[in-house]
Amino acid sequence: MKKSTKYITGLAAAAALFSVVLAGCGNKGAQSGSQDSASLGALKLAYNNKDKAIKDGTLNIAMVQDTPFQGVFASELSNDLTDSYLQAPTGTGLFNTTNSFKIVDGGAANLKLDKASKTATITLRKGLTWSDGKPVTAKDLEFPYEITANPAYQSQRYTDSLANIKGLADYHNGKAKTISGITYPDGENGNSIKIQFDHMTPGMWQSGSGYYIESIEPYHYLKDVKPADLAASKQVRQEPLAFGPYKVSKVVAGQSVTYVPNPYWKGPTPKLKQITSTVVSTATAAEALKSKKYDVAFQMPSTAYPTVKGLKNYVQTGDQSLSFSYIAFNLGHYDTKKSENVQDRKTPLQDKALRQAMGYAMNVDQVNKKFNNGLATRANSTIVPVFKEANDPSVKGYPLDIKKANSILDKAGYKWDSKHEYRKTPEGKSFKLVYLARSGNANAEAVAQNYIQQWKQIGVDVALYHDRLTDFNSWGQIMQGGNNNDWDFTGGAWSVSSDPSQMDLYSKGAPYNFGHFTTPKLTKLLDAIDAPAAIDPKVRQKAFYAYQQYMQDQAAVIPTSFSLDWFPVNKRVIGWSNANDNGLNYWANIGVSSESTK
Amino acid sequence: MWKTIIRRVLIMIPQIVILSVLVFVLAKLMPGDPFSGTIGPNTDPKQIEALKRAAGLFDPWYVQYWHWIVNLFHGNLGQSYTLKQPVTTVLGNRIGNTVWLSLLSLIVSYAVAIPLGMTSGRHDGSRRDRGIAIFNYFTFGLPTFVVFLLGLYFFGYQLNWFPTSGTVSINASGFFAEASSRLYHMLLPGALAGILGTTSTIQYLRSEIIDAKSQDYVRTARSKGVPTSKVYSRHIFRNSLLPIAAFAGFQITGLIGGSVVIEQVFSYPGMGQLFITAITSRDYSVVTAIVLFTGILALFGSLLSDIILSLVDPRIRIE
Repeated sequence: MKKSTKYITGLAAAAALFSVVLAGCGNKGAQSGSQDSASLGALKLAYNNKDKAIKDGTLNIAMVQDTPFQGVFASELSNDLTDSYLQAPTGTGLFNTTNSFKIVDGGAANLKLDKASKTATITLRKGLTWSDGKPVTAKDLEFPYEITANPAYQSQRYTDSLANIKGLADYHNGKAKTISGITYPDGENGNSIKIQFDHMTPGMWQSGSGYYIESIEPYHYLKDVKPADLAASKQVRQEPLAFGPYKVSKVVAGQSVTYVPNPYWKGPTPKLKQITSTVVSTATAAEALKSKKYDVAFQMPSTAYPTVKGLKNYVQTGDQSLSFSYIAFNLGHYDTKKSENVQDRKTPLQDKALRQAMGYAMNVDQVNKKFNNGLATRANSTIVPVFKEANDPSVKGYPLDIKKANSILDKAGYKWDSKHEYRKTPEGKSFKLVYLARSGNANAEAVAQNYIQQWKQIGVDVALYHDRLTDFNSWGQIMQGGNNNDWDFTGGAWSVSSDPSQMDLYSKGAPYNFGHFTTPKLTKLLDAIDAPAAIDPKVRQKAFYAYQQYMQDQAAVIPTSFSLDWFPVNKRVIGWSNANDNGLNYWANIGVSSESTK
Repeated sequence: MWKTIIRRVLIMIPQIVILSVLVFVLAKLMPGDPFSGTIGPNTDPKQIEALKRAAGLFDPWYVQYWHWIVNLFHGNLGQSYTLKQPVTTVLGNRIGNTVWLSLLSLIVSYAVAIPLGMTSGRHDGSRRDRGIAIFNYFTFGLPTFVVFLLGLYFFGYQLNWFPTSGTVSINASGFFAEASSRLYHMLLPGALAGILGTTSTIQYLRSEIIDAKSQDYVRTARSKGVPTSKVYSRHIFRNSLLPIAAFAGFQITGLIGGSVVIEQVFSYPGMGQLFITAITSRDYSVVTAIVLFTGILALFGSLLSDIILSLVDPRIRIE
């Protein structure tokens, strides 16, 4: 189920994430990155229910959110987290992975990468069948590339990484009718495709890297829908086909989805007669679990945690989320003509001592404890601990240490003013920094004011941008412009893909490098992570470690929190796990041990 | 009167044009755009820009406005950027839910308020009147959010009498089963909203009745020997309805406006929530469609109010 998260970026995810992140808590360090229960605080990765599953059970899922869901059952056209959750029982994701998203055999398809010929061969699982009885074919593997790259479909997922596939850019620009780099070794009705790349990268062995698409779409079922109408069509909203253990039997638009076993599924027999997924408002989510209406709840608000953790009939499970929050400093601008970041802004923040001190002054653990009820931990780096091979446990981030912060500033020559209220720059000028803080949830203002107090303690004068919080869309506009000089630093959060490469976020060319921190050394370190030599996992790990140590020393960004995904599960549920290595058969093995919720 | 009505309708045309310009320009003035929220390491800014260009967001506002108006006359309200559906489909999905729910709560509201208002006006100062006053304090003073949550908690989760979310049960199939399931889902939110909406109607009715009691025409009727109950039901009631009738036209607008609070608590997909999410996600096409729609309805609502008023009170004539 976690697999689905990897596709997610976007407003819904980022906005929701932001509120979760800012509403969250500090437990033991997640730095170790190990997947045992310790790093998850009080949450369990899986619920090992030893009971036997009954026949013909029904699983009721609560989809906790305050708006109706969108319900696009085609990942190429959707960037909504709820939609990916809703798709899960019908089969999403092409490959099975390890817990840290390395692709392994056994999923809906297997992947074979060949360094010498720079190709990927994707071969479908034998007997994979759509829920209308038609076999899944090679054309179905290729069709998602058409949906993504053909502008008529209006997908947001076309990227430069995909352009590494031969002929895809030409197809995208309308210069070619077909994608020359994708071929069918045994015909369109066969069971494999071969993808020709321009060059190989280490990320290719990792699911979610974005160098190829990891989904299949039923070409025979969707080919007659006009591209512009596909996202709104009944084929992807009301009656989508499935290749996984369950198929959608009914959708009440925006409210609920019912699933029944897919009669053409050839894997292990599904244990349930029916699954329902229903939208439940955040305000009543805890009450809904108290009255045992649902077996599992997705996207629970962390504010409900104190109530729900006391419920005897529910097991609190969870996993580390593929996301982190950060403070970024405005050190330059984005040159849109050259498509690169330039670190040229005149600001006291160019001094790494000031940035470091600001990091050490932040009481992230306290904020997490007060507002997040155990569902977030302080971040040590910008690499999410799910990637335990990549996250460097020796990098400690910026734990609260006012003394250290003060001594850093003292050493760097920031003298206190005559009233001992604020500090002056080493040149003797007083300065004030503008904090562009986002609104998002009820706690956002309190958290922002708290940090301003913290920075005051070390003598750094901070005021909010326009004296108030900034809403998400305005923030997005300011950030994407890349040229706004009215803010000095900002807080944000990223949902990240399941390839830990940092290229998209911090490279010289990355438009998402909102702080515009860029140095020749950083470029070298980032390049090393994605260099051909890093196809060797040991080399890549070293490169990741070096990058994190440099970022920690430079305090280019202050990583603040890693959040946890939390799923309360009723004690009658069998087979529940949040691990990333669950694979395609996972939902078939979910069952319930009694007629009604315990 | 017909002449007047036609004249009023004609005046509405420039009003609607001005409204549409305002709506459009104000929507565009909001910071950000429908795509500024979709940023992330997996979305290419170049692709976002291409999509923006395709959606015409880089054109000057009057060009965009012109496209919008031309489409409007073809019955095309555009495409929702975030929901990826035609706006007409989006509105169609929601408007029914909201209208039925509002209608139910309106009926409940009048069914409760009119008898209560009559009673408290007729017997002012009595125990009954004081009881009704206390009821009024509660319906007026309690935050709606709290009432809905408590109502859902007791009747939905504790007593299990009513469904707790959505507009229809997922297992309902067939016309009759679906219709009754929809009604069942509306009952609790509709009744609660209706009861909370009674305050002003009760108060208006009460004070009008108390006023009317001392009027000459009432004294005349009584001295003629008209039975008391008839005096109230025939003479006083009709006159006391005036201020309520004056509002009736505007209630029509309220019918499609929806309530964000109720929709949120009961996970009931309606117009109120759609409007708020459309604003926060800068879904221009949905925002402009809703504002234009409610604006036009408000214009018609005020006309309707005047017409109703003239029907109820023969002294008032639209000239």
